Amino acid sequence: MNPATPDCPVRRIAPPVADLPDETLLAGLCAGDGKLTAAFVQRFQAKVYGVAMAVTADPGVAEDIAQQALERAWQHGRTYDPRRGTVAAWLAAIARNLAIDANRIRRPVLLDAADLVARVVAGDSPEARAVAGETASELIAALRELPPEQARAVVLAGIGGLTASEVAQNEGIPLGTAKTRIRTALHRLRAALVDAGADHG
Amino acid sequence: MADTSCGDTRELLPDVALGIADAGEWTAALAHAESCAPCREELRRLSDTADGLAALAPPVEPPPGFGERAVAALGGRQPVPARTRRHAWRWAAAAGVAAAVAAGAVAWATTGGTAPPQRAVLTGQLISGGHTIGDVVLVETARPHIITVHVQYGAADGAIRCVVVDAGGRVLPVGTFTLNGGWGSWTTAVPAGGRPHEAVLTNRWGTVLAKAVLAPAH
Repeated sequence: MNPATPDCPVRRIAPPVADLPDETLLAGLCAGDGKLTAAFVQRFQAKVYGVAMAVTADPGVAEDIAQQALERAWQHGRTYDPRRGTVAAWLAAIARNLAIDANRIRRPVLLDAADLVARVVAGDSPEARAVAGETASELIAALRELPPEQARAVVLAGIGGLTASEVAQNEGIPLGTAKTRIRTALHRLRAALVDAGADHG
Repeated sequence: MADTSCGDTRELLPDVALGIADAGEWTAALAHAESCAPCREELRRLSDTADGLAALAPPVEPPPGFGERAVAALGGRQPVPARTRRHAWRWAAAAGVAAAVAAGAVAWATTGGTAPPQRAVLTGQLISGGHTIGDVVLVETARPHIITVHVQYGAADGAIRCVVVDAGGRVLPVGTFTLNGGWGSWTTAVPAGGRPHEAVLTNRWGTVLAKAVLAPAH
């Protein structure tokens, strides 16, 4: 029998787990709560695996990295500072650093820069904004405005974790040109965030 | 070290923010930003932009069963206090040293010496990008020395090389070892040389991944 009848309304005293904010799920993960841990993994597994795939382009390695990123979140969740960014951005940084470490001792990875840019730019959606925040939307808009060669360079460095010399090799351009493209592009992205009011510094 | 100018530093800040500056550039830029508020603020803003960029990697659904495995690995557990977990393998390192010293003692006993050889234990933390990723314990014995290395380097699988640099700058190859899931641990002999000064880990192409300056254990 459903007790929630008009004569006997049941007040919801807690939202469904799926509606809980990211910070609450992270706290539940660190506290060892099985239900919140499952919700945390469900919410963020595609993010950490996606970051690892973008950097390593290897499903097996990416799976290991995603698992380890979640364990790092579990281990170090109490050090998360919401003033520095969203939980998704924090987790992405953890996964990216792990993936870059993995790439350093594997053979060099060639990334399809144009494909990566296309997938990033196509990722702007209400769902994506809900996970990554409004800044993500502003950044994607700014990426669309960059000259394609600058967008490829900064995405290879900023998402793919490639050094300037690796970007140069990946793009078949001189090192100096790669450095210029990366630096100019990051300055332009930052200026675009300031113009959009998304830089709250 | 001579301080770099604002102009030089500003040029490097995007690389530092993106995490792609090399060690020298990183050190120079951060040293300048430490004492220059405008450059420090510029670095903060560029870093925020770079962090936001890194988070734009498109989500990809992992293989079936990943979530269940991850939850099984994490679920219902309180994280072990970081100190205990992070240092757990140091106890293993200590155990490795004990075994190495014992092995040395056995070797000495079987060679018929009349007094145990003088031994010093040198230790050092393996530092990579400003972070500790492992420990090195080197036991000076009658040649060869014995080195024990424990490293947790990301989640990587692959080969990693170890050399010891002696006080005279001579490079003593220790060997090539395998990391599994970023974890590696080995105990082996160090070729004869001068007083060990530094242990260095590189990838197979010679890129330095981490260094440990060796000093007498307290």
